[in-house]
Amino acid sequence: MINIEYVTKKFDDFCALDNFSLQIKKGSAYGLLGSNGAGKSTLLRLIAGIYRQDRGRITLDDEPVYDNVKIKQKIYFVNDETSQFSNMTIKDMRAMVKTFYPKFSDTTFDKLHNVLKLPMDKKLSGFSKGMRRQAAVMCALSSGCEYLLLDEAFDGLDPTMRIIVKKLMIDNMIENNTTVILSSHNLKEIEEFCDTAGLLHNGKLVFNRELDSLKGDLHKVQTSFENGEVPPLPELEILHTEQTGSVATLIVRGDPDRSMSVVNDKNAMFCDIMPLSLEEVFIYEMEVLGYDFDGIDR
Amino acid sequence: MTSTVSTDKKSFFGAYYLYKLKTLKNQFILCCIFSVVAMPLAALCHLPVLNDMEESLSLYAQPSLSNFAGMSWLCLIIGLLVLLGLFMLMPALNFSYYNKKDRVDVSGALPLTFSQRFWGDTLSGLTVCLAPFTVCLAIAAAIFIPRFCQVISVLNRENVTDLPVDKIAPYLLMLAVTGIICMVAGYLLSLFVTVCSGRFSASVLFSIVIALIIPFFAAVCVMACGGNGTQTFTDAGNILSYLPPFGTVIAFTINGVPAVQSLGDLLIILALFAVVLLASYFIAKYRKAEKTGEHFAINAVYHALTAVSVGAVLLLALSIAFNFELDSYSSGITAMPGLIIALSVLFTIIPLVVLDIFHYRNFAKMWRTAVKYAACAGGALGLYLLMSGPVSQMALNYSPATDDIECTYLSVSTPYEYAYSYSDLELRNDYIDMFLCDSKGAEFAKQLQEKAISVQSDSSPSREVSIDYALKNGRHIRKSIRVGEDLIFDALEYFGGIEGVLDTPLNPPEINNVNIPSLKIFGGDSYNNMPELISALKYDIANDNGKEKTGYFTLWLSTETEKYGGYNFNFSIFSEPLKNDSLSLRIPIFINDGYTKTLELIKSSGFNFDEDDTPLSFAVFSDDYRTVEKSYDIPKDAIYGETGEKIFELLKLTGGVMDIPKNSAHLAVTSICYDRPLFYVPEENVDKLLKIIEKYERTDLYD
Repeated sequence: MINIEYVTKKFDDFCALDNFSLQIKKGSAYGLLGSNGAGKSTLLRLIAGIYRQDRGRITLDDEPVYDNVKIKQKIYFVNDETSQFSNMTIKDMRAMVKTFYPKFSDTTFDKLHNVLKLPMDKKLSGFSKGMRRQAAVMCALSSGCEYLLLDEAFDGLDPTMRIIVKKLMIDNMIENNTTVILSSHNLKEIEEFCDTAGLLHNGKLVFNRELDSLKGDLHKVQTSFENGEVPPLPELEILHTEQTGSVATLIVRGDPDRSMSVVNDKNAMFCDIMPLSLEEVFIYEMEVLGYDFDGIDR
Repeated sequence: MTSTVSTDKKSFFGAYYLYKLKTLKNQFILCCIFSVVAMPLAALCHLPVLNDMEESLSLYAQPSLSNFAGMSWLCLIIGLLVLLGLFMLMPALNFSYYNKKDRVDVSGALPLTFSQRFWGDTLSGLTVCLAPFTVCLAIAAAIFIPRFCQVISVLNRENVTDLPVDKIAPYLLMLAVTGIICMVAGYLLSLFVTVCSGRFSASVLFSIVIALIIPFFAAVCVMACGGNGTQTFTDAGNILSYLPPFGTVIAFTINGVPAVQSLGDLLIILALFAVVLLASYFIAKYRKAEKTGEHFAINAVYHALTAVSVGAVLLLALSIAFNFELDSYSSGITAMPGLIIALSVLFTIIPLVVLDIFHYRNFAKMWRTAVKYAACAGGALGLYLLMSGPVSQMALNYSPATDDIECTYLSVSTPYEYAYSYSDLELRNDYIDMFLCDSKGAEFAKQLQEKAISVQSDSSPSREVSIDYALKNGRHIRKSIRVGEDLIFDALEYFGGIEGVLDTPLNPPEINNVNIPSLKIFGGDSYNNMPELISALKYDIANDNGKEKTGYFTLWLSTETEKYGGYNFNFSIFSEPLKNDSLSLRIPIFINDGYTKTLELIKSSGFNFDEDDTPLSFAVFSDDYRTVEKSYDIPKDAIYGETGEKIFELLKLTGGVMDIPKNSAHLAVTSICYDRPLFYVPEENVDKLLKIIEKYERTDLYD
């Protein structure tokens, strides 16, 4: 289990994480959401023991991470860059990871290599971004680490490869009870891959919930009234209202049955309740936090 | 499925170290190539030179394959420079996660403690550079030292040299250790800068800056110490030798002494290394990973480096400006100190502003540059006052404990070169060397030091005395002081009565007769014989010639030094022209009867310089022995005279006049060089002449 307690991390005057707390259960697939600069990558680097927090405590299986070899052996971090291994071949990468991660599995590596079919002796500088990403993921999955921290790990992969890599990861999680923390701007990916997600904004955690519960909390109400205007609905926590012709779409937080009942009580011509995708959840939550999506073509 | 390798901290360090070694294989190959070039190859190239020395029984012999000599030095110098560059570049390459943002995540996430990573990187980089260097050094030593000792033994046996063979190997060993120290120092300084900086460019640039600025700063501090005109010089070489790499190289160039002469020296340098290494370790430990990519991760180090650089230049300018003013006689030159300081301000403020713009990337913060510059200027001024005042006095007064002194060497110079004619005869030779190898001698040297005078405070006749205390621990402490002539005379009298104190006689070698083909030059005892001598010389050699202008040689004669006139012979300089069949005669004649007398002497020798284009050159001395002018190409229509006014007139007619005393009455003595090809030596006589010259060179002249 990863336990982050009251962590603050500042970069000069900029506060990347502000009194931040989070628990991530072992074996879970955790998705980190957030706008650019929200603190996702910083959080991953703190968990990986690359950065040192200014305040607070980060423990993994009840032991501090920073400068702790025993704990760091359990963590494998794949960052959002792909250029750092440019001078290496996959063979070199394999040797490197094998050197430092005692649970490195040659079998897994070979298996992954058979699937991904990357050239072993060619320098990564000659690879495409997606191929370099695949190489990094190969090493991560073969490392035998219990915690995989993936920062934008699917970035650059083509759709087929995304499916393959995701499947390999899921297999790995099942087989080794690996905990995966995935930060991504691709909400669909998180929706498909993760069971829990957290939203970071301005260094703070906006929410941290299981995805099913998260999506269940917000729902979309489509309705229409006789005069075409939605009457005041103070009983509901409406995050967003959109009117298209006579049909109104409301994003509401709370119990969907209650929303249906309240709208129907106002003599709606019709009322439908629809679930939200994670992307919509993200957008509306961010809108509440002051993100202005008006004028952005989505 | 998974392997079960058990690891602990120790094995992780080893694994990381080996892993890093593998990643540095290209750098290792480069180090190997240049180490081989700089040492074994240079040693091999020098073997023909040694062979030639042995065959020709000369230390100065040129090899028959002369290109080998040049090639050996070329290999050595270029190889060592490249190697130093590699040593200094290595930390920036090996600690790339400190200057490349994408590398931070890889290195930081590895399951290593900070200490394992730091020491693994430090030692692997050092190993890659130092291992080939040391191995090649050992190979080169094995090639060169035995053969060199063998050749020197032969030369000693033939009385060509008297170098102590048993000390050659230890000396070269000290030199080798010094070489290693220089390289390691370059590495460590660069390591320090790398852990403080955040970009590759900053790391490389400031590694060079720190390596240069430390000895430069030390040197200007020493220079500032001599700023009160007392000429106290606290052995800059000694201080610089402890500041490798460049300080040590400069000190070696000045003194010819390796930095490490004793275990004590080695310990001092190792202690300095330990300080740099520990500073690097702790800075790296507390450095934030996210600072990678910024110009400097530790801003204080950037500001310290730039401030010290600016301060050192300003301190140098102050030292030069104030010393210059002290030596200046003319009010027209007093504007120079201001100019020097203005130029130094210009040359420091512009680079500082450029660097700070790059550092801050924010013009709003540039006020800090102004504050920093003001602090540097204030610091430089304060340091100058401190150095030229109390510290200078302390340096002047400092002398080692008598018990620590092995031997004292005193060198008393004439006040100014060529100013023989106003000195007492007993001191007319160039230098008086005294080796005082007992406690009494050491005490005397210390007394001299205490009685050192200031040029400012006393303009009475004085001598510059170099005191070299050779300490029992192998090091030297040198003082350059100025003492009154009376004190020197007393000293001579004092030491004249001490048996065995003076290893070198005070009188230089006397040469009463020097034979040039068919001519006895010195036989007389007065410069009145000069016209006759010169005429005879011209007559004989010219008549022997038979052919016109096949060559000419240079000969120095001095009318005032009849006892030891041969002292000025320097045939080694002329041996090469002789070989090239191009010899000239140069006669500087020192006359204390004035300019007109000199001209008369030359004219009466049969030379009519009024009718040819031969340039005359002459030196003028003021009545306190200062050389005020050396000029050339005096116009033919100049009015020659012997009074100060006339000389002053002459000086005004010549170009490049410098430092002319305001009052021409201060001008006194002239010495005139009549410089022209005079004598023609027949080709068949050149070998004969050479043999005679070499004979004197080896035996009479330099013993």
